[in-house]
Amino acid sequence: MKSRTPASPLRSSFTAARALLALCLLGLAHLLGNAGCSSGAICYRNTDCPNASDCKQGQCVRRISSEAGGAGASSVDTSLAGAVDTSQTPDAN
Amino acid sequence: MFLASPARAEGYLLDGNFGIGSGLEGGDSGTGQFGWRRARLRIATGVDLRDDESQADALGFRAFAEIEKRATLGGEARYERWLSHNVGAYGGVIFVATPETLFGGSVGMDLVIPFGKRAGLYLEPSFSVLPVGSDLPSSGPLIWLLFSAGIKLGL
Repeated sequence: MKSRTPASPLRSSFTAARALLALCLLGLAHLLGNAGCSSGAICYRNTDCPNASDCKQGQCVRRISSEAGGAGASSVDTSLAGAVDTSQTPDAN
Repeated sequence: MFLASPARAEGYLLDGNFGIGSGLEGGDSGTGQFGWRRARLRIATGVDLRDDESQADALGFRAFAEIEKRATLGGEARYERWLSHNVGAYGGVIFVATPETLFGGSVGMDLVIPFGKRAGLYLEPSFSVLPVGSDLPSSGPLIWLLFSAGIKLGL
């Protein structure tokens, strides 16, 4: 018959790790459920947009040099980084 | 932590680590509405330095790269306080250096599950607020709620 041994430090570490992981997952699930999570179509950072584009009002807006498009000119770039940019529509702003 | 081999004389003990992380990223896109999404996947590596005479206190340095969308490169410097051999908490500064900049503060905790004498698996939940930088489309801060995991080695 096997005798019982005290819980090892390694085992208690695993228990603590599991508890911490569960807490983190619960926290993330709570945030996702209550705050909502965007689909990724909205940019939150300028680096969400392709090169030479900036994030303005949640959309990627292409920067146009003053020589090419006049001062302050820009166009909406509806694609986020990694997608093919097909939009060249001038921005009314 | 405490995985490094003992030093022969007074000096620093060194732990190295390598891991990956992701989580939630919150920010204001410029519309005035705060939103959340999944944070970009990142890889991180770094070292922890601790004085062999005060092993509960450590300085940590991390370099990380976000590897989704436009890749970014950043770093972190942190003061770590180890509550036990395997559990620690930290606070420090965090930044993204390129291609755009971000700067802010970060707090978190570390849990190390030892494998053998000098290696371990680390789990690291963290919370960062980055209110400054050219990567922000508005005046609102960017918030990271991240969970990272990886390997820690005593060097």
